[in-house]
Amino acid sequence: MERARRVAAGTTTDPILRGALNAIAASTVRLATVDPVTTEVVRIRCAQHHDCGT
Amino acid sequence: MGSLRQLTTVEVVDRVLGDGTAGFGDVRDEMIAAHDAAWAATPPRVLELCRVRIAMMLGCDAEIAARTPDSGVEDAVLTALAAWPNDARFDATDRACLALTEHFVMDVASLGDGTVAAVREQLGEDGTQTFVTALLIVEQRIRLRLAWDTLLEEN
Repeated sequence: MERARRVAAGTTTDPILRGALNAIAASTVRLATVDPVTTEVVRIRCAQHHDCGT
Repeated sequence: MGSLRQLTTVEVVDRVLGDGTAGFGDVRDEMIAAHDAAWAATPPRVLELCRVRIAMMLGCDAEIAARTPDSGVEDAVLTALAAWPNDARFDATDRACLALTEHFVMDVASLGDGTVAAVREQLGEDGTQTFVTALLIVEQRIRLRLAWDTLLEEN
């Protein structure tokens, strides 16, 4: 679904917060206790819930 | 694991993710760093109101009872939080952010342009994007805590 931009081009998140968010995502992805198929199913379900096309 | 429900969320994170010996130490450290960054980047009054509102909506008693030091929010205001649309103790910034928070928790994908615009008027462009990022971190932390409370209680 195409959406109108809700913040102006060039808008930025606080850089420390953005870095922290990226770091927690990376640390979660590095976990190996959940099998890859389950991990991918959960990731896609979360993306659907958040309407995230990427 | 024992019951987690009586513990603070900080204690629960430590109990579940431990000191790294189980391989989750980096996740624990990154969770704490992200939580700290969220509070440093966002007006603490706004984030405290939204944190407690999320806890109320999700039924997280420990987070409802918790208070963030130096948030600047009086306890009586938090107690009256459900009445934010009409209570004069909540200003325009509080209301815009709480409206977005409630919609974010219920159905984030259907968040309306007007709801976002109201926050943008109060916090600006960068402030809105930072607020939503902080909100995500706070909401996920509470949801994760609730999942652990349920799944790990009898283990």
